[in-house]
Amino acid sequence: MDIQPKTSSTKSKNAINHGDVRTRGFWDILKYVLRRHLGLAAIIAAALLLEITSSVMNYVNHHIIQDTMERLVEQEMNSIAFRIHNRLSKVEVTLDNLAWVVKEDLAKSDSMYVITRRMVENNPTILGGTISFIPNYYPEKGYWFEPYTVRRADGTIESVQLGSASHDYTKSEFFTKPIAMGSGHWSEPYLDADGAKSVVTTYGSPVRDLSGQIVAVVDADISLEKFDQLMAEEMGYKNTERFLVTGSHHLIAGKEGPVLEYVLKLLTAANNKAGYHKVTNEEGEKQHIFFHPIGGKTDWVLISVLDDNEVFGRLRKVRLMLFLVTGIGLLVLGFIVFRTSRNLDHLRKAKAEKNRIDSELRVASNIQMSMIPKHFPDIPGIDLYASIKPAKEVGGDLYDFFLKDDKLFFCIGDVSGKGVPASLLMMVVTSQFRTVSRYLSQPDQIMMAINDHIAEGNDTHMFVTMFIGSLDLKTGHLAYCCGAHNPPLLIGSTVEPLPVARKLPVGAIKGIKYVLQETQIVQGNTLFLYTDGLTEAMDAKNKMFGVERMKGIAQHQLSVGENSSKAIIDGLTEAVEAFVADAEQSDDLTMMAIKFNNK
Amino acid sequence: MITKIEENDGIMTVYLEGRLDTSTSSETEIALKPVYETECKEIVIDCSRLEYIASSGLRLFLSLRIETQPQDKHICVKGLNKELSDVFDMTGFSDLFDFI
Repeated sequence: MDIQPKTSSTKSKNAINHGDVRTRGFWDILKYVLRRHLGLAAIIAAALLLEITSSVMNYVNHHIIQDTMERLVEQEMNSIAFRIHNRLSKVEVTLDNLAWVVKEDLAKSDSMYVITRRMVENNPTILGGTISFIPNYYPEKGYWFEPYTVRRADGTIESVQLGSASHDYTKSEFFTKPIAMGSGHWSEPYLDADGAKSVVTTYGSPVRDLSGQIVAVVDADISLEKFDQLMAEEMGYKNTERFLVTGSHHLIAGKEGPVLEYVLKLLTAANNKAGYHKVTNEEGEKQHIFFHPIGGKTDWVLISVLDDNEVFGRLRKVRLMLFLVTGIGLLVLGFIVFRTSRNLDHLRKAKAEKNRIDSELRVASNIQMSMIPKHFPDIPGIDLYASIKPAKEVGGDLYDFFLKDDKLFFCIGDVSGKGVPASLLMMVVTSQFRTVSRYLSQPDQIMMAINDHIAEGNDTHMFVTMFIGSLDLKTGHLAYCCGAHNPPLLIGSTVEPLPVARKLPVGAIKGIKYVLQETQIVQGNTLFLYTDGLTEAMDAKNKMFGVERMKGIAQHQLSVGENSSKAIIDGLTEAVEAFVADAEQSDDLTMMAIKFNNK
Repeated sequence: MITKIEENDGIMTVYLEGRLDTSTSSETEIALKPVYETECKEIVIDCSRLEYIASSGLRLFLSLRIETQPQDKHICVKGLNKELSDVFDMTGFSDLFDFI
């Protein structure tokens, strides 16, 4: 029966909580995080800002470097292509002109040897030259006629007739292509085993007779070694790899290897067209590849391959450095923010703790002050007034009074020390006084009872100086007992201290016998009780207010007729406040005045 | 407040100098710890340089008196000035100690 409603109420509570969670949107969470982790948020914002700035800069720089690189490589390739072109066109022009010379001398078959010899002699770049005639052109020379002059490795020049069944030039590219095309043509590179005995490329130019029929091809072999030198020149990026290939992808210059294979695939895909390609190879390395056709009478393509690390490496280094520097900076900043916020946290906690203690002390003060009578009823026969002013929120001073059997029972006390420890004992003493005086009527008896109670198990050895009295409101007979308290003043026509027996304070040692003393209060006289907070009040120079000054003020009040209980206490309060001035109140201050006025 | 302690021929001498009030009594209480722990049976408290004593200071004297009694230690107070002597008289503390 009991369980059922409980369960349902828990459930409904949970439902509400879930609802709360759901209503907290993104902005609420952001606000919460910002409030709680302001430092962290600031660092993240700074990191983001720095990263964005750095990224933008990096992007811009990357573009500038890319642009510069493309322009530089284009210039280099243009320059190399131009020089290749120059070298080739010299051969082309020479051979195209020789084709005319051959045409003029067609009638003289033997002059062909002279022509080839001149060609080689006059052109150092030409390794060897031939004039290859169509089969049976000179019937007397046979099916094949191919006068040939070659420059040997030792520099000697030799002329021979090369064409034969074993060297059937009519099937060779350098012969067939110029005829088929009707114009000059550069052959694919090949190993010339018979002639120059090296890898060569041959330019062939067709020779026409007077009727315009092609009757022969003038050929010149040039070494490919010459191109290798050219390829190594003008390198802005030291790790650039260059290749020169023919349109059918035979290597003229450059190194064979995986790079070439890879690049040639790309060139096939690009259809031998000029262009720039950014690629990542199989090993994950980025490369920049440029194609640049030489043009002219060739289908050759110049290729440059650049290593991405060489182009952008420095930019990456700068970016990494910046990243590290900002990272370290942010870490330092984070550390500072963390320490600061931790200190702030400590301060905040300490402040909260202090506030808590302060408020508890205020409550404690209220409780303590409620133990002390603050209202002074019109009691026939006496004029009673008292004041208490603790040095801290709570104190160790006390006073109390009540009527029993037409007698005024009163006490004043001062616990050793001040603050919270003193206030705790003060509470005990005050309640003890009330309890004990309910069944005991003699001040010494009351004091002994309180003493034994406090001294029992008093490990801290705190004690209270105390004065307890009972005043017969009809007769003015005063019975009193003093436990090491400051002797009260008797204010009549003169101001004199009440004689007191010297005894230990209350609570110091168990079993002390206190002395009951008696006196008669004369009509109109005042008994003034105080704690040492009055006589030992100190000014800024540690000078004490003193007993004499106190007596003097009381005397003065008397002489000016301001001798009601309240007037005496007010006068002394004013005087002591003026004396202490700006110095801190050093001890609890309590006063009580009882004027006997039985009329 | 300055507290100095010396031990000579089985006699421990405690020198108190300055004002023994609420604000200095707790540090003095700590400084007086050796008095409770010493093997000396004769303890002299030299107050000739003591200027003032408040009730919290008297509490330290009371503690010494009560705590050392079961150890058979004898405490002797020396060099009290007139004001301090009055305080000891008025509070009955004169009965607890011997004076030189």
